Amino acid sequence: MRDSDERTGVSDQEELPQEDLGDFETYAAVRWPRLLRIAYLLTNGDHHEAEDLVQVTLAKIYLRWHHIRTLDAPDQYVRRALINNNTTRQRKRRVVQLLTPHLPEHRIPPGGSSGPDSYDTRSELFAALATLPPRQRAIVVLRYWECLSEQETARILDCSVGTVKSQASRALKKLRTSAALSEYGATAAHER
Amino acid sequence: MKNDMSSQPSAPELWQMLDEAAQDCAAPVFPRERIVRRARTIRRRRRMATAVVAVVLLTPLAGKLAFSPEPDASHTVSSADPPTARPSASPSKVASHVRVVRPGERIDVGLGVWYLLKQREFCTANPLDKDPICVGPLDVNQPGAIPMTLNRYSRPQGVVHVLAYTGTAPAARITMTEDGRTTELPIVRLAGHPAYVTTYAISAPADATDSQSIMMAGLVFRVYGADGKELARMGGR
Repeated sequence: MRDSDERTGVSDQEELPQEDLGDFETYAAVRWPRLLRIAYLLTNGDHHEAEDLVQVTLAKIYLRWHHIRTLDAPDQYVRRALINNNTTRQRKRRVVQLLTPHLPEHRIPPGGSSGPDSYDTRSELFAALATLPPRQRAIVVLRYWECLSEQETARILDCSVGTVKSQASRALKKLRTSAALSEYGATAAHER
Repeated sequence: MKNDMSSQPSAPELWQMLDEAAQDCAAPVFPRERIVRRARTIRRRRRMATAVVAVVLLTPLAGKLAFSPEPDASHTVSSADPPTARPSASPSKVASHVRVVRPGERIDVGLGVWYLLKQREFCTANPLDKDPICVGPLDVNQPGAIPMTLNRYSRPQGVVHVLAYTGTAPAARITMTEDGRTTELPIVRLAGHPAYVTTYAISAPADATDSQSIMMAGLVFRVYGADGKELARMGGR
């Protein structure tokens, strides 16, 4: 980092050159909502944690922007940074977070007078995602929400395609145990 | 710059569930200022961490260099840097340059003369000598009896002196005074023998025959301890 700063003559006061700064702002402002949602899924629906995670990631991106802007696929780099930062934060977390981001509510059975609303489904989805290890959760988000290929996912996570496949399979197997996702799990298993 | 954010769902049902959940997260205004501020904090923290690591790593090394009794251990000691003349006003303030050599390592003195050190001997050699002639065993185990031993080689360009000191206290400085001018001499010694040191010097050519003594030539060699106290002297009395 410092080498790059010295190369470009960036100081603490100057930060990025004006054109780079403008470039970064444009990029980050456009990606901000998307990155926030990725982080939201990665952090099991914790909005504050997600916002903090994206801010820290973008701050680190900002420090290396003169290099990242020259990459062919900066989004891949940013996603990787986001996932790595999330993994690091979870590893460093000393105290298990016991407060849930959602108020616990009783699930109304599907056969009841009022069917399960989307809030229940989301709570169960996040609860199911929370049971996954960070890497598997990242694979689920990248593969099934970001709709990346196995190769792209492997590249972002710096692992083999085989690992992505096996981890995705294990993640789906776990998700199938969730009531909200059991239906999808069955469909997915059938598709495979 | 290529935008590689893709948008083709491969598993529509799961994608829909995840997307509905993700849509819950309403994105606030892009916090540019906060990101820049955090970037500065990260950079500051990284630099501080780098500085701390550098200090932690370099402190023992610097301490070792500062307090090492063996500041230099080059393989060959040569007389490329001739002994320099200094005023003799404050003999206790200056320490001679110390070189630590291995037993048997060749030390070039100048004018073709060289010598080597052994545990209890020092061996000097003329340019034409195949093997050096050893002086010893020196009084390194019961030091102080004969503190200084000198070998001289007279050449047309000057007189080469190779001198050994085996005293009771370690030598910190050796000087040669010639016609009132004092010259700092380098200290050459083996590792682990601070009280057994050698030095060398080249004085002005002797006009008379080799039998002329150094006292007659006006030469005085002095050995000082770390506290500046004169430990031994040869000549001048």
